[in-house]
Amino acid sequence: MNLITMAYMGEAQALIDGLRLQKVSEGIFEGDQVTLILTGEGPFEAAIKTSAILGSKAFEQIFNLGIAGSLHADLPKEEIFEIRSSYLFLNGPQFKSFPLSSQGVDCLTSFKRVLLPEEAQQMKGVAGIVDRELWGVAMSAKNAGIPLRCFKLISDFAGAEAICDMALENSLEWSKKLFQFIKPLLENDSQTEAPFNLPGFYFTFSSQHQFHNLMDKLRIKEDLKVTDLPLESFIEKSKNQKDRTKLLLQYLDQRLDPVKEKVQSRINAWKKPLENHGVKVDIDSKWESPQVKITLEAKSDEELKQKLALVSHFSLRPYQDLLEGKLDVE
Amino acid sequence: MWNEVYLEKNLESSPRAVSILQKLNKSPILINQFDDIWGRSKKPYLHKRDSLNLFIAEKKGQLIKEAPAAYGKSGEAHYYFIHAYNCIYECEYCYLQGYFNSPDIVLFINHEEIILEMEKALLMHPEERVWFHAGEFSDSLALTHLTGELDLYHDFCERNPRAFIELRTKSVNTRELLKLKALDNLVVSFSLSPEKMAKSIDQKTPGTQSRLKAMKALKDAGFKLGAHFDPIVYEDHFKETYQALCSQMKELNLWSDLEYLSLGVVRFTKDVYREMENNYPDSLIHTGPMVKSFDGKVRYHRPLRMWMMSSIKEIALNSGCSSEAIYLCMEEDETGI
Repeated sequence: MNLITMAYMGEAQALIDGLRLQKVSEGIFEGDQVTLILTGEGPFEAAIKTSAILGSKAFEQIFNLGIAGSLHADLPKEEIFEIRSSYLFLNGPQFKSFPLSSQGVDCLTSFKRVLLPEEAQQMKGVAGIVDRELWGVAMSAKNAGIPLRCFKLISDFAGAEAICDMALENSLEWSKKLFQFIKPLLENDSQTEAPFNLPGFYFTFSSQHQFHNLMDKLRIKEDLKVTDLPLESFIEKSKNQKDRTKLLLQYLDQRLDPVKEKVQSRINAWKKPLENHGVKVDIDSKWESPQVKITLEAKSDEELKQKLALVSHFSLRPYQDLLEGKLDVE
Repeated sequence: MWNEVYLEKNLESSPRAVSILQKLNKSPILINQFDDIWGRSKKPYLHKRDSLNLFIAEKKGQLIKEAPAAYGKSGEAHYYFIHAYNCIYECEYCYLQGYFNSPDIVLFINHEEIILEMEKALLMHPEERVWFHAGEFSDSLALTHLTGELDLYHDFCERNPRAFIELRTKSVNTRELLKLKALDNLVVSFSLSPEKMAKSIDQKTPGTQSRLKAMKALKDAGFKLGAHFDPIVYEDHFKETYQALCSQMKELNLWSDLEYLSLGVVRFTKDVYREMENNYPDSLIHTGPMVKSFDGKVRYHRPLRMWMMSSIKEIALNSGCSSEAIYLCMEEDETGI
């Protein structure tokens, strides 16, 4: 279910008709996949109305749509822009901002209408577009943990034109433009991603996450794709699907960090003379600290003497050498 | 390049501000203080790509700061001075992406006051060489054609042979510098990475070949040089790529008289690492085995980073770098490699 927030009925009318939304209460319209609310003007009003609806129903995505003023000549009237970041302006820019998208134009939400060129001048270094609501919607969306996208149709040049008269004259036309723009986005949004499946392997949620994480890094490092993996060799090595997955993950891990295996095998070889006789050697799991903990158990004096003799011949030097990066010495 | 230019009102008639504005050919928005606007909103770092603002301002408060331990060669006093905030380049590992609330550039133009502070610092260390590093919060050469402050710092060095200035850079914008006479106590240091790596992670910077050429031109003009192999980023064939870089430096005769070579393996504070993951999800840097290390910073595991550092140190030594010139940057000093 998607939520659309808009300020006025004038902006929303084509969406209400086009999406066949029914009025369920004052300022709230519902359809099968979409709820639309009218927030009124101003960031507080928008935050209150948005938070109220988010508290009453579950939504996957929020869209804030509407008209806004341009602060730059290169953002022409009647064009629709996606908003990249939302800022607030109250006697100067305020600290809290909300990134919404990786691309688009930044939008500044003002507490009052921008009527004078001097007011617009102070704002233009912060953002390209000025509106009255987005920041309030963004704050509510962020608090609810629901993704928000915002699209603004440029209605005027802020501080230079009489927006009220223009809005009255053009609202239906602008509303239609916004509807035509948002319609395909709402349709795409209802399509779901295909589930992950690698035939012959069994993935739990966490091993799937690990697999994707390693593949992402190997894609960056050496442009490795799933189709490049020697999957058949793992299938041959084990009949158990979980074991194959384990082998596959080990293979990817080693390919990503060949040094790790080298270090680990040397640590194993260094510990072996003690661990073969039941003396435990613990080191820092992150290989940061040179500190080593040696633990032994004995049932007799003879066993104790034997194990202490082994410990007395044991050296920390090979481990310290590894920590100092002496990996080229065999 | 600049979305908007802001100027502090009290600098309206400052000749340096006027000169910068003339070069920019842009009328500024007048403000009381730069931080009335700059950093007031959390502006995402990557917005610098298309909406970078410039602020011309006066630096207030601390104008020079003591540099952290292991900043330069040990045994000498080190300070850095702040002539700007933020940088026109976009290196994927840059700590500035998590440091300020805004990527917009601030140029501080009260250089005379900064120099006065440097003179005071000299008096505090009457017997020693004192280093002043530029480039902590911004590249120290990239905008010098615009800012025109180099001659002031050059004059300070000329008057104070005990004072050593380091201009840290990735820029090849050496035109203004080459107009000045080379001085023994004015060192230009270049951050260098193997060509392919620099292309991948030092976005919007001049390539390694161009930086080496700029170094050569400065060396030929008598300037003292330093080099920073920092950050060193893991790739399977790092020894070969650093060998190629060091060999090229040898061919250009850059090792002889090199003031210093610093080595530092890539490292991040937790916050900068998170910023970098968001800003550059496809960065090669993510492919290395990062762990939270001894000081809470995110680094490669210790065997790997020490191996890389000792291997590259050996390559540099074999290529002609003197052992006295090498220091480890922001890493444990007690390792003795």
